[in-house]
Amino acid sequence: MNQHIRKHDADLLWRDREDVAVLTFNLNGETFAIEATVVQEILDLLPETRVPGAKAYLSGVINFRGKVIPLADIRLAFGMEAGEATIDSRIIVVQLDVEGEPCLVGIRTDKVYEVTSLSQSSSEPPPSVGMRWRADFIECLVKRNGEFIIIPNLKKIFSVDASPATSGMLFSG
Amino acid sequence: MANGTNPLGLLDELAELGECTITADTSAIPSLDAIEPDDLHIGWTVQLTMTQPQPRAAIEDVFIFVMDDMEMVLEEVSAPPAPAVAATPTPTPTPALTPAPTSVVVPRAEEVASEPARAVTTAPAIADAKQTKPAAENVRVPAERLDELMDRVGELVIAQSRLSQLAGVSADIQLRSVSEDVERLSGELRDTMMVLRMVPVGSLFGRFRRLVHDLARETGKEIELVTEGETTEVDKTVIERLADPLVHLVRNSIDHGLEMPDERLASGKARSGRVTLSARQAGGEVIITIRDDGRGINRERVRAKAESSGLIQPGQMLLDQELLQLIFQPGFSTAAQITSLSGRGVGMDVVKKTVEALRGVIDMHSTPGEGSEISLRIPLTLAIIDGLLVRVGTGSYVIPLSAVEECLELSTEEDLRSRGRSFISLRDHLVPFLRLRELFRTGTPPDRYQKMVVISTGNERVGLVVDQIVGDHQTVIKAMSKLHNDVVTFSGATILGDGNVALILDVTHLVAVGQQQEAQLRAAG
Repeated sequence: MNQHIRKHDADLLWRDREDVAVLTFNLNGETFAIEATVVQEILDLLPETRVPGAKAYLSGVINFRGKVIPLADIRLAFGMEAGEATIDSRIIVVQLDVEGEPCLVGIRTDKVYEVTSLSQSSSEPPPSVGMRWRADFIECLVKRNGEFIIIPNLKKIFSVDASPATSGMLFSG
Repeated sequence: MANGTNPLGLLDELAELGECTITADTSAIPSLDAIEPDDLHIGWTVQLTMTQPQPRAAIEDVFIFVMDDMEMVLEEVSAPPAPAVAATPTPTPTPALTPAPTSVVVPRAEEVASEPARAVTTAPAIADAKQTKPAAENVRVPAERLDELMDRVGELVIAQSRLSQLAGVSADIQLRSVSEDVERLSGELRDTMMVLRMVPVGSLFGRFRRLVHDLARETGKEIELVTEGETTEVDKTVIERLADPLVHLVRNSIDHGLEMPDERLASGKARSGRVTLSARQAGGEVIITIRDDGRGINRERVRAKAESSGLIQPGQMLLDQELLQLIFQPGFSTAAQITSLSGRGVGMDVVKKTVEALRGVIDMHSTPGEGSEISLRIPLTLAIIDGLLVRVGTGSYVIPLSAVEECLELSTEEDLRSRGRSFISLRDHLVPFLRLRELFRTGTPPDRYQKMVVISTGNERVGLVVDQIVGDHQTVIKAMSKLHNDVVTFSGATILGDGNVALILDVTHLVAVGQQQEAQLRAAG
């Protein structure tokens, strides 16, 4: 199956490796995973400052050790419902490459599970139909213990010109 | 020698000026193990007998490329026992206008460890005084270490303001006095830190001597470059980022502004055109001015060009300033033909963008036939601003204090009366205002006593209605993430004493967004 994976994206994640260490977390009951090497830190919820006029999924900033970094809710980028903060809510701080410069982003999650290893042989590209969310923001799906883990394409979600369907321009109208 | 000059070449050139006697002063040569191969340890004394009518100018020509790093002392040694005249580094020519034997004394410049030539003659007293002047001790530090230190100081300032907030609500006198001490110390530390990063503008202006020299040869124009206020100090990063825009503006002045020598003579001006680069400090800003005495900006051509490219309607009424601002539009060029210097239409818009990125402003004046003047007003530093902390809804925002003109209360009656129209009368002037609560969609009810902060953006005054004015706040600017590049209303963020983040308003963009929004409302309504 894996020969069907869009070659470019798959290369980024697997880089000819069979297994990749990932951090799994929960968003609206779905299990997501991001590569463990980009994760900087996992934080409890911090006071968030709203940025009027920003895209809906990047609507705030937080103070991360004296740096001001954006706080993202990737649910909104996918077009999922926003969730309420619970006692399990955490922020995962990841370092991404935006236009060639390292950039820290906090990702809001409902619950963080564990660091685990996923294997390339059980991964599949996102199906073209039957998905509630934007397929181009999903890098691949990995089957594990009878459920699918969604690996989001963070690079694409946080590319500067990304304009997801839910982009909430404050000043329009 | 460390700056790439060969002193022997200079001596040769001096020798060509007239009959000359050169004596070497070898007294300063250290022992072999202490010798710095790049440093110059020999001084030369040059006694010239010159016949040219302008001895000083001729000698200055020899030193033209090292002029910025040195002080020059020329002494006239007349044959009769007339008093020797020492011309210290003022650009005025020595009184030696008549052919007279002249000697050159080039003392060691303070900052530059290696000076191409040091010459001493008939005035040993003066020369000795220069020799014994202790060389300033300098330490070279990589810029990134300074930046690191700056970050630390910034964080210290934030921690300190948390401390003083805590001390403010505490009854512990000892804690308060410690907090005050820390406040004073961190303030001083920050001020010292700022000075460390300052470099004189002269280092930037120095580059233009060569540029003007080359441009003069390329264009066949005669150009005199005058620089003023080289000692004005500006943050290092500001200087670096100003270099390219300034090169562009100077090129523009020379290529578009200055006329050919014949043309200048015909219009009753001096044969050689004059370009003046000057810098001066005004409050928290440095003003850099590029002035030429050329033909000025041809309004007709700017208008014709703007009409033909569709920027303005034919016959549209424009204020003079608005017309001049057109040249900052991308792709705008009035040059009839493309030269290697200009006419490609890229440039002025880039200059404007760079200056705006530095939170600066460009002012422009031009009188046809008399020349143009472009002033860049740039804040001294990029790292810290004085701001006014305000609250809108539940969010805190910082308005740069440099933009704030005054604060006043928007009374309930005034607020109600101004529904439908968003301006008030302030001392017989109309001041339009924006309700930040509506602009930011806070969704909160207004405070009972709303305040208005009147800001000035260029020549316009606009009021910003906020819920509460918290007070003034020294702000360490944190850049916004690249992911928030699409949000133009904020120029940065800062961390408040309680650890929360406040956004810094970019007033120019904010007013522009407010105008857009109103236009859309009008269109919808």
